[in-house]
Amino acid sequence: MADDLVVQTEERGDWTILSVRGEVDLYTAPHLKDQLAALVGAGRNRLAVDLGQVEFMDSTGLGVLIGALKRCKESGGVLALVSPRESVAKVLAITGLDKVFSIHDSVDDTTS
Amino acid sequence: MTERFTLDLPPDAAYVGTARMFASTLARHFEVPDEVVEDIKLAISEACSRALAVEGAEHLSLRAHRVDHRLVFEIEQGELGAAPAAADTPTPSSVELAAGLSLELVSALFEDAEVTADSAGPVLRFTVG
Repeated sequence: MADDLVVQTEERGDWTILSVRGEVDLYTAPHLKDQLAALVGAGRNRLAVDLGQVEFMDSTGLGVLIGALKRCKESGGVLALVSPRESVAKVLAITGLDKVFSIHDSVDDTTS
Repeated sequence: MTERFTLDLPPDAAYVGTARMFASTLARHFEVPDEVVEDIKLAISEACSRALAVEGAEHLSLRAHRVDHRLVFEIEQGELGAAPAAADTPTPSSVELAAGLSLELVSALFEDAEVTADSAGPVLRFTVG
């Protein structure tokens, strides 16, 4: 799975940036879910998920992001998506989730 | 002449990417535009996830055939109404979302998408071109 999906985290003030690289599907989504759950569990509930290097995402990945958004909101936090590629943006648009998530062009734009 | 292609994989989420690669390679071979290839990859991934959400799935089976310059994909779906699988799926909420969204997503991408009964059981079918 390590070759299919890589998630790196970086803290910027009270924000945590998750840089995701690879493909998010039924096989790899649990890895992203675990990372998000660990951060929220540790009290890091202002999350920016950088999707700029995500080449593919299906509804399983959307489910993970929705779950994390819910947990962030429950703890008074936020979850923003950053620079999704065209293919991922299309899935968000088809499902209407582009209106549910806060979507930004850059990490700086998100955290400023 | 109808050209037929078949891919049978173990019922494991690790092979969903393989199914996408098979379908996208086939589509590119037949010069399907890149933006449509991306739609095919998404539809295949959704269909495979839907198939694997059924408990007792014995294999992941993808078939394609080309007729009159159209490419038809078929993905076996397991028995309708069967319980969701528990072992190799991420979370109940993710499974529920995938099950709920998958068919809608495929239908949004390919308007003829449907699940029909086949001799091998339920099949999700959609046409490109």
